Amino acid sequence: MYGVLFLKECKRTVKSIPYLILVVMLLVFGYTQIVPEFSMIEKPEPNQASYGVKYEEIPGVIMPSAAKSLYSEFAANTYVAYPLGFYKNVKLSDNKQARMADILSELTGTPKEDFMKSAGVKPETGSTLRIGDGSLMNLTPNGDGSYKLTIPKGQSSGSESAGSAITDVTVAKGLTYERFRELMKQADKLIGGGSMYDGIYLTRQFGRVPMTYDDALLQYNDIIEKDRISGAYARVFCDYFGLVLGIFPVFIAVALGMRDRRAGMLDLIYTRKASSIQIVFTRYLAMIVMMLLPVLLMAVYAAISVAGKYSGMETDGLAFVKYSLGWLLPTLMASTAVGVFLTELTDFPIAIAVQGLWWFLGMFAGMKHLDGGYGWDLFLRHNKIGNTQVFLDNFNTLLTNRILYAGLSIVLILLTVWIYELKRRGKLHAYNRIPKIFNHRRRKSAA
Amino acid sequence: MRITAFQRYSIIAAANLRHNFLPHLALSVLLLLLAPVIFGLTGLDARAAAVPLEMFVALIGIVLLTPLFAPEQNPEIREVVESKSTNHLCVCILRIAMSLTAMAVLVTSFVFVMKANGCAVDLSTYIFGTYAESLFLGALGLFAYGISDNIAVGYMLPVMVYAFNFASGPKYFGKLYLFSMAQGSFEEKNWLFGTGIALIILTMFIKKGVRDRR
Repeated sequence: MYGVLFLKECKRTVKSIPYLILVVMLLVFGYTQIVPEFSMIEKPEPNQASYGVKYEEIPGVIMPSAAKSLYSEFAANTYVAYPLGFYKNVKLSDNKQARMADILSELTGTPKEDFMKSAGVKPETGSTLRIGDGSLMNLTPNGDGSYKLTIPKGQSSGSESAGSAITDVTVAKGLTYERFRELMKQADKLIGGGSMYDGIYLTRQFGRVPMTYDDALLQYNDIIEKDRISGAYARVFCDYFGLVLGIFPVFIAVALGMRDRRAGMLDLIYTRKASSIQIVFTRYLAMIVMMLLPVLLMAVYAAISVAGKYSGMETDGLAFVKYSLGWLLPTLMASTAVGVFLTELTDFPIAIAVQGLWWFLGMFAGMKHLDGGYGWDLFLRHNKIGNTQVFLDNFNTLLTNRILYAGLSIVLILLTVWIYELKRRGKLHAYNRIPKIFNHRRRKSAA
Repeated sequence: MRITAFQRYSIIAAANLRHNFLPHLALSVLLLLLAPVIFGLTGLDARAAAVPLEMFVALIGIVLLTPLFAPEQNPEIREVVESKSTNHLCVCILRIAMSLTAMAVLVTSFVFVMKANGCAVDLSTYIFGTYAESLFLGALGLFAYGISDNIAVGYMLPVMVYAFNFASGPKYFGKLYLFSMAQGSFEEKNWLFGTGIALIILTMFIKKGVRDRR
């Protein structure tokens, strides 16, 4: 019975219009976006003009450039940040600027007052008042309810003046790299997070050094030996398809979830012998299998395409399939589970909005890990052919992430089973409840 | 008691607002309120200011315009509605007008807020540009929903176009490239606006044709 039910659900999935659109989308996306990215990896030769760049955590490189950058942002009071992957231009209050001056002072060994003066930051203590021409005056209480107005030190009475800029920003002698990282963390916190002084960005922003021939050769050898070529391409394949599978399965889950209600089939299904867990899991499994199918077909096509490029060299014929199952399947499972769960709960296509927002934020948050490195994103980015060592170094993070999303999907499906069972027993009718939230039933109909 | 056409459509508009439109309007407002949390909206130059407008604010078109036929999604309800003397096409046009007006108000308010926050936005250009993209995405969803009679397909198509634009850049979309303002080009917005209007008209014709055949 289980097999028959599964086949019926597979047919139902394949016959739905959103599924056909997804298949077309995957094929077009794969053909226009991914395969053209598969350029040949050339073996580096000695004495090339350039071998590209790499990012390394070298304190002697990172510390001076980060300190200079922080000072220039401080002086202009314009800090660039990407808290959710989007550009933000942060301006700090005078109090926060004063705290930033503290950080800069410890970082460089230059007195805090010099920084305050150079950026025209007013002192923290005492109240200030801005008068008609825009200049700042100190307000000191006299004790009898009246106030005394004084011109702040270092400021002419005519206008607020910024002192001269500090031209030579160097790192203080004796500052350890650990303390430097702590100070950078504090600076990032003051800015509100996502600045270039954030742990992940710091190396990427300031640890950029040119690659040598040996570095380039090592990277090349990693691709040939550890990735057996195909693995390097399979990660880019997963990077692109992750974007698609992070959102589009939800449409299929919603469409199929709402179909029974539209067709008036719910009562008929509720009275069937099959248990709720059987019905829900079979449907979910059928959707997953059918949606994975075009991905695997594209994986085979990509594997053949790569093997063709490197004829005569050893490639991993199964790399694309293995990566698709390990890397993409949890994304597919999660976005489908969100659709199944929320549609069953609300009988409303709200899952599209929820998943859409998650996808949108994930798309930009993933920019932090664009070349690998990974994080807790729903779809993991690796938009560079190669970077094998980055992949291997962060493999545990990737594995934990994938297990987490697969587990979350199972939990959502179990919750769906519970809701489905409640509906079958007549204890929950979301369709009748949800509209009541929005409708004003007490009002009489105009008709 | 006989009522005038104006009174009749006013009642329909009020009922539509209360029973259908309000959740979508609330979701659109929520999206716009979320924008300052996600993006920085202070002191942006012209190109940086176009990013939140084109990539985020324009999405309200999908929320407001796509689910236009949702009240009659159920075939039994549709049959009852179509049997009434009031022309259903006119009701749909009224709903479109409400959605387009809400879109205009929300987009304009958002651009004004950005201007007040010191962003270098040219008001008329940025309002029109964002509105045109929003209209295009919404009209695309409406068209997909209209021909498939499936709301999930309605939402799917504009999201698909959005994702393709994001991944491929202007390479495949030419004059219909969505994020042109961020690259300093505004000509595409006229095309998006024109195509959006054409899609709405086409959808109405298709709907009328399908109804006449039933």
